[in-house]
Amino acid sequence: MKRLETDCIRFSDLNHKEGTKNTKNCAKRVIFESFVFLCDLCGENLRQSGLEIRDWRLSREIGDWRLGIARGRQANLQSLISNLLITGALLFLVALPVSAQSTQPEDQMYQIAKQLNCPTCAGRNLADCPTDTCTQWKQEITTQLKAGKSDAEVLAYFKDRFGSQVLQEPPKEGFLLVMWVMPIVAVIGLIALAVFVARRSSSSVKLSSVASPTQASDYETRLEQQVKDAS
Amino acid sequence: MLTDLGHYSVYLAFAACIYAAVFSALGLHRNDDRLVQSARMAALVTFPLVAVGCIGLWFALITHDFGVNYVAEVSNLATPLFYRITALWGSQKGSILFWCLLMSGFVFGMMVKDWKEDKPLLPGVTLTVALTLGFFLFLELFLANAFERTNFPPQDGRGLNPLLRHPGMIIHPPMLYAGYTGLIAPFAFCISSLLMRRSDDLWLRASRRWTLLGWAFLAAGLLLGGRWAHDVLGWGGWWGWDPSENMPLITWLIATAFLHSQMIQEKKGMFKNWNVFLMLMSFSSMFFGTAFIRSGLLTSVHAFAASSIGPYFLGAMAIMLVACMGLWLSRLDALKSDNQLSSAFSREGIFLLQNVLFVSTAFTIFIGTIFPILSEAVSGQKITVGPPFFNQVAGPQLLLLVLLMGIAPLMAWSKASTRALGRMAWLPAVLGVGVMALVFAWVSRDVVAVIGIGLCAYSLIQTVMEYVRGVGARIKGGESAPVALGKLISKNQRRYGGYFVHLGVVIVCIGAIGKGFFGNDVIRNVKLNENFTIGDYSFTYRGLGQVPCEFEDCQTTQAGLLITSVSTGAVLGTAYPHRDFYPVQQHTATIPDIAGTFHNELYVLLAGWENMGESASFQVYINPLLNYVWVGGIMMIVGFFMAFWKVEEREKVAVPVRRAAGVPAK
Repeated sequence: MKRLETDCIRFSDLNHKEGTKNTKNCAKRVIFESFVFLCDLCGENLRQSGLEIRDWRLSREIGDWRLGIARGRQANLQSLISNLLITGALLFLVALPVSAQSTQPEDQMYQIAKQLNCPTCAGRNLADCPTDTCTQWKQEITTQLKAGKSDAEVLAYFKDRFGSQVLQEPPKEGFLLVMWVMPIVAVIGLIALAVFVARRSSSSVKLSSVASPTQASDYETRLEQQVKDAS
Repeated sequence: MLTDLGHYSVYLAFAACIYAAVFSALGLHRNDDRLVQSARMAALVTFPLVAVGCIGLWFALITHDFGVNYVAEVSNLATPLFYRITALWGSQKGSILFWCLLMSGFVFGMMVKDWKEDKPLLPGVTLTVALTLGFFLFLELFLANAFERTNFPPQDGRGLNPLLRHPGMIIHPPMLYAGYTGLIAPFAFCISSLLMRRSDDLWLRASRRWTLLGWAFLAAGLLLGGRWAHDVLGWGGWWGWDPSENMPLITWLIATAFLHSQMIQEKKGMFKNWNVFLMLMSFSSMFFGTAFIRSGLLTSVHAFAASSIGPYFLGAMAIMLVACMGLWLSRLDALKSDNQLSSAFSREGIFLLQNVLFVSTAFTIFIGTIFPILSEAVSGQKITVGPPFFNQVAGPQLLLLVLLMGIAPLMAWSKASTRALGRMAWLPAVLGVGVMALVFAWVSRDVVAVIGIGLCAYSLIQTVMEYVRGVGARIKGGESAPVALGKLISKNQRRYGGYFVHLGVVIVCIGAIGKGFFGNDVIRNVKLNENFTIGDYSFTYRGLGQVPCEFEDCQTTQAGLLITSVSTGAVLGTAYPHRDFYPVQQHTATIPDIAGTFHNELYVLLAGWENMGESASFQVYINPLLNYVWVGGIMMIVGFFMAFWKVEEREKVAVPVRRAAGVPAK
């Protein structure tokens, strides 16, 4: 952890010096500085949340690699930006393994209740329902947790006893798979249909490119666009 | 007396609808304008007639005429005047009457205008609106009559459903109904265009403002429904993927797709069949949604609206759908595109993709909403489809739509160039990634949230840049900045109004992501004068007591909490969440109190108490950015007005030229 922190500071320092030396252009410097700022922020934030960085060596490599970029004399603005983007993405990956779970028993019950439906409040989850039945269910969860059951076991208990309808998220099994798959099929199917129709119409309609009034207005919009781009 | 007059008046309106339907059909058949004009007058008169019906029912509600069953059902002597007026749509029967009022209002608006160049569409439009409105009046009169009387009037009524006692109820149902019924205009024009065998875009141009109006009402209705749920239902959120929210959302999504794709037909003469398809889908989704929510087949927070008229809705929808589809399929070949898609990498191409995504998102939501019924019918397995399904499957599609919103405006028609796209997109893209990094560093480590906020930031900046580029070009032309902005918008209202709606949508999305990913909620049981903390907020329980209820027929128990900051110790405010118990309805309402700042809303609920308040349970939600949802909603409506105002007059210039291509084939 400490190493990442020092690392971060180390290479941000380097960036700072090399960066200002290499980039006379103001825009470049602004981007550099903001990157340095971000880098510091990342380090600070990681330290605060007391994270375990699994592969700190990766961050070292990023540091070295960044150094290389900073040393490149003729780095132009575009390659600079793209490099920064890649660096940012890598930093992002390094810091990914985040797990900050609270361990209060009340919260554990609450998290489970949120994944269940209440029999008495239509359209609401167990956690949000104030009725007596739901209070009993919540107590049942607490009792089971105290007995040492895991979250999954508690959920399984409710599912076995009351059926899948107690679950907020329907299981991905059997006929229910249809529901999960259908939207994906729909997206692909619709795109295929659109392509098919576009192809068919383009092969059957050949004479359509005769000048029509709509194209005149299209020309106007393009002209307008060009004027805008030029300005 | 007045009530009976209203009742007869609604019968007359029904008769007028039949008259209008018969005579417009005859007029269409014989090509006789006099018959059509007569039918038009009959359609016009339905609005005043239904209005008299509503006045009749209002009279009964205001004068506590419990001889009318409906009045006893939705009000009692203690109901304040305000809620007696809104009780008109407080339950099934009255709400159908109110629905008819709004629909006939739209019909009136359509019929009263001068019908100059769109006159060829008049007979078909009259026929369609007369049949549709006739169906709803039939429902009202013969299946769910709000004027029904009993010979033994009760001493007092049951009172309005406690859930409906919220100012949001003044506007939410009327907005939603207006959105739904407003779709009758584009639908009628579409059917008429098909009946007349036209292949031009006259129906689109003639109905565009109506479509926009219906669309805006639907959007406002959805968001106000969210506000109502937030304030009354007590589940900390604003959107719960409840069937009663999903169904209007499906209609809204398809209507939004339609609003976009109709531009392609107007500009390029393409997507003609697709537009008809979208129109039919959005109108039938309206029928279907209403049928499902009213049928009681689905469990929903709107369960109070359940009744037996669902099957009639479904039947009517089936007939309508078969008839319309048949009509459309018989005209399929006449609606060939005038132009071909020259490149997928163009404005048209990206519009097509966006349309596909809108429809597939709507379809996803539809599947999730009706799957409990399907599952039980097919495999006998009872399930509940909760928010996780919709978030996982519809969420990514919605995020992609947000991204497209930031790309489509940059694409040129016919064929876009990568270089031009890159030139305009790089800065917002870099800034978007910067925002991602900041969110990642400071706020959340959730990949979906970070990507979502990044995409929103990109689209937001890109859309602002559209204005900046436009204003910049005008400033170079020698105008001052405010003048340039004003002229930019007024010269192209539809475009820049549309972009403003985009801004609103992005802000709503930011609010939704903030609430969904950055929020936190806990439930805590504390003793008197003890405290609990979430994040930087400390809540001290200061007491519990009975307070006078807002209404006469309920008992309120209220708790007081002091909110302080953990780090500074400063007092941030107080919260008084309460529970209202309604003995007549045996209903308990958990009413939250809202504290905190604009960016960080604290939503406090009283979850229960023991031993006269010695200890109590509280559920506290921290809802970051949730207020953005309402701000974005207001922006969407402002954008709508920017696009809606005066739009037609400008467009009329182009009419005579384009007309040539669209002479009816008949």
